[in-house]
Amino acid sequence: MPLDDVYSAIGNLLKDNDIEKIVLASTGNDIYNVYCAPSDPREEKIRKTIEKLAKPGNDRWVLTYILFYLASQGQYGQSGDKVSRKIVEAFPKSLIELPSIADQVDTLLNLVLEIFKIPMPLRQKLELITKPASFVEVEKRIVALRDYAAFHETCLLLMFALDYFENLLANHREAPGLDSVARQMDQVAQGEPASLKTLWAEENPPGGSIAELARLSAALRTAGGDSGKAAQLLDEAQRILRIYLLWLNRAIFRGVDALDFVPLISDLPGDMENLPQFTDLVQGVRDLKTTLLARVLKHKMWQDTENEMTLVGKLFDAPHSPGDIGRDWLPLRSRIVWLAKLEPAQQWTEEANRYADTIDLKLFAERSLDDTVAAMFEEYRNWLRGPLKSIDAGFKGDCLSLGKIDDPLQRIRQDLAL
Amino acid sequence: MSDHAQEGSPQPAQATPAARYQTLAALRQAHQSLKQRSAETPQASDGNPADAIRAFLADARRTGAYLADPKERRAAQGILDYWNAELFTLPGAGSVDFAPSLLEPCDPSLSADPASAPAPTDQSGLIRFTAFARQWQSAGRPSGYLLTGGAIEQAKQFWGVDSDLDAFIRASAVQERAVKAREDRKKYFWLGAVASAAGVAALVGYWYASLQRNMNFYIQSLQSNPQKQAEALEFLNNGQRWLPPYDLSGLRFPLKGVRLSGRLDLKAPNFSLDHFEDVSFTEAKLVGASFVGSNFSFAGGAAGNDLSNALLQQAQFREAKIASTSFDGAGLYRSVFDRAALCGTTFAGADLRRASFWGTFIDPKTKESLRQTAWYLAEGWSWDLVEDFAHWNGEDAAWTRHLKASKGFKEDIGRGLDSYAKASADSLGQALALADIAWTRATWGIDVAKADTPAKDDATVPDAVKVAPTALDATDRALAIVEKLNSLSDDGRRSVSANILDTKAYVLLQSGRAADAVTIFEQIKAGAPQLGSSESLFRYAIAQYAAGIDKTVWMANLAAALKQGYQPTHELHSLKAMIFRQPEIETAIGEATMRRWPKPEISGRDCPAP
Repeated sequence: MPLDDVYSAIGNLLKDNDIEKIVLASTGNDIYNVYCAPSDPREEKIRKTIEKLAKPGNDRWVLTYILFYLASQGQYGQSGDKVSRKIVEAFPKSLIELPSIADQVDTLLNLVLEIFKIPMPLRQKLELITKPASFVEVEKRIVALRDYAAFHETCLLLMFALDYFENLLANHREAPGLDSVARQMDQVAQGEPASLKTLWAEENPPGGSIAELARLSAALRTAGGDSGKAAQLLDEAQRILRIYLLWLNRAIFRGVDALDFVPLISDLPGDMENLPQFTDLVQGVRDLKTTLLARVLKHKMWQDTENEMTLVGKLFDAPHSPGDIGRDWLPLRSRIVWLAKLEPAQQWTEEANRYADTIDLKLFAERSLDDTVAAMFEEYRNWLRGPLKSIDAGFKGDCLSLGKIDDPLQRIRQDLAL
Repeated sequence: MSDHAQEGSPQPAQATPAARYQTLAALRQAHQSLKQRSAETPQASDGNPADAIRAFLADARRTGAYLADPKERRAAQGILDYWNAELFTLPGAGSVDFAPSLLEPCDPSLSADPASAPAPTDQSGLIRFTAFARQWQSAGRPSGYLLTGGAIEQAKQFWGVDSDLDAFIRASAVQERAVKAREDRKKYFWLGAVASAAGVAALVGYWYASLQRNMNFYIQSLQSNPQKQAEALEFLNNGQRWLPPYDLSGLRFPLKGVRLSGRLDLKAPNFSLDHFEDVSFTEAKLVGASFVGSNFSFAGGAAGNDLSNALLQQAQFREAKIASTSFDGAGLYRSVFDRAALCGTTFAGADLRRASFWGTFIDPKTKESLRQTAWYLAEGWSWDLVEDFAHWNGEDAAWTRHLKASKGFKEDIGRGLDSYAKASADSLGQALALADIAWTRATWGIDVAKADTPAKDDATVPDAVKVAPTALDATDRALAIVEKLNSLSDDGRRSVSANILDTKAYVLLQSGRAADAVTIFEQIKAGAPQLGSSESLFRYAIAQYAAGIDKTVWMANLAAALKQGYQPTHELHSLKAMIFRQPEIETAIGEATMRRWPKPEISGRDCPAP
């Protein structure tokens, strides 16, 4: 793909103000001081910035921030989706084959520890001790992120269980094991980590308070053999959980954006910028943040796709003709294949295509559809849960790796305070 | 249920106005439309998508009052949940937006207003073009699979739905442009040679500027100098290839005595509110032209106009007054004559597929001429006219030959014949091509169950016609291929194609084998407990009536199909012997038609004196 097309597409979507903020956040530099002139057209600003950053191999900093920005504006799956695909196709490093967070954290920690091993004059120590707030903020956000990842996994498993049982009951099939779902609901209702409650400014969403799950689990236990009532309760529980997860994911998405490792470098006393390790430290901090944004973005994209999958599943289940479903099914199909391509090591693309081809053939060959196609879609959805869990587990691993920063930071602060 | 959800319970039904979307189909269409709008709204446009979603959710909740079927409710609630989730992701979403939007409970006293049901849209093209796109991708993107001509335009209506399809359309358009450019290069080789010798850039720049100046001059001269009209149009025609579409609307003088037969080729020109008298634009290419409110010889004694064999696809003749004008053999696919007046106008052999004639005044001479067309492939006809056409029995062999030679039929059938020729022997592609051919014949009512047997050694006869001269042969052959493929496959795709069976049942029904048609419809129904599309249900009802099945059964199916918004078109011709023999069927369809196409109140459309 010609790169000019990509620059032009980005320029079409972003305003000057957006571009300036993105470049500052991703590189720490004022765009007009380093990369281009204010009079340049937007397309040209982007081209010059990316070309200059590409020389040391840092172009992915800006590109990932652009992708993240588009997603945070609700542009994913809409007009921003096309631009995002163009970016990834032209610059695969932005989302494909990302570096390991664990490795980047190790590199960063080594550099931090190395710098702090250097004997420090008392003046510098005092300078650092007077600015502990930013260090504490980084620690708090890392802890919250780690707790979020673990809790999200629990919620996701409950979501799958609710969806599975609700689908069985809606289609008048037997659903043994509702007790275990009720137990899972109780576990989630009481399991929200305190770190999440204290960190985010927003209140729990109305209608999405997971404490409600306890009430529903009790009702589920007394529903007995009334499968209609049980299906209704599961549907309500699913909606509450989905809203809660949307709220939580949004809070985390913003939280990661706000997770700023820059204090690790900017709060260091001025003299330390002359140390030979300082340049590597700057590089490490920006690399880590960029990779983290890319990871959380991919995590969000898969979650959004699961939501879309839920809708299409319900549409497949209702009476319709193949043409009616096309406009919902085809974009979803294309999106999943695209997401699968972002993980070449997992070989999901072929599997995604195989399931989708079967459904395509059915839609193409039939003028009216029966339950078979809904069953085929359900099979496809079951398969998708594998990649979803894998992505979720990968993100959880990333968050645990970040947690490694926590201890050394505390130790450094304690050392400095001596 | 949470407190909030209880707060969202509906007011008593009598206190609330009718819901905007009263069926799942209407809700789905609105959902699709909102999705489309979201996809087309760039970030930079500063629109407020959150407000649009909030408004949609408010309207959509009320659909619940009309939905009783649990699966329909589940799907409708799924749509609400989806937009709730979309709303949460927008930057402007506040805490209040996290409140779930729940469907109102079903109110058994309410029933959907049939007029609120969305008009059935042709989505089969989406599935078909997407399948072509996937075949093209999987075969390594060979150029031979790409679309050409009008097919590209048809596929473009699905732009943005699927990325593979977008790539396929883009590649087709690029190839089309390349082919056209090659042809142009040959044609204008000498021009290129001269231009390159003289310094291309300077010359072209100067030339283009003078072309624009001349264009303005000639448009002015059309306004001010009735003597120079032919010359002006001739120039504009020659310059059109390099210039944007012309706005020639509201000319002060009528276009009179202009004769540009076979030469006029303009890109979507605007002739709105213009007067035409004694004009000959035969074989002109005026795709997408606008003649809204124009006047074609609509004055006593004015000489008529000739637009015969002109290409006028998607042209707009809304509210035009047209007298003594010939559209014989014209391509009027998707053109619009809504609320126009047609007096002494002829359409013999014109392609009227998907053209619209809602509220059109049609005098007896025009009506006679419309009989020489596949009028039943157009829409919007008044019920009086449909009844009049239905009681005409002049469809003899000559009439059939005439239609068979028409541009529209050739284009429709050509698509299937080409696909058949390109597909591998006994492949799914060949079966689908045969199904396409059968469907075309069934809807046009041509070669349905009987046809002349083609000579096997005649190279001019396409292979598909030799293999299957009639629609019935085509469906049988297609079904045989599908059966064979199913027997080879062991991956759970053993379903018999309901699509082809549905076509076969329609063919049998037209051939007087109603009982056989009913058997097939029931076979389809056994595989799909609720017949998926309202059009199948409609034909099923007619077949049940024709087969002598109990009246309550077919009346229920007929009412259901019409309630779902199905508006018969080709069936009004192909099944007229059944529809117009039974007064209750005729009345039910008539009432549905009048609801869909209410007669507009328009005055001042009396035909001019000859």
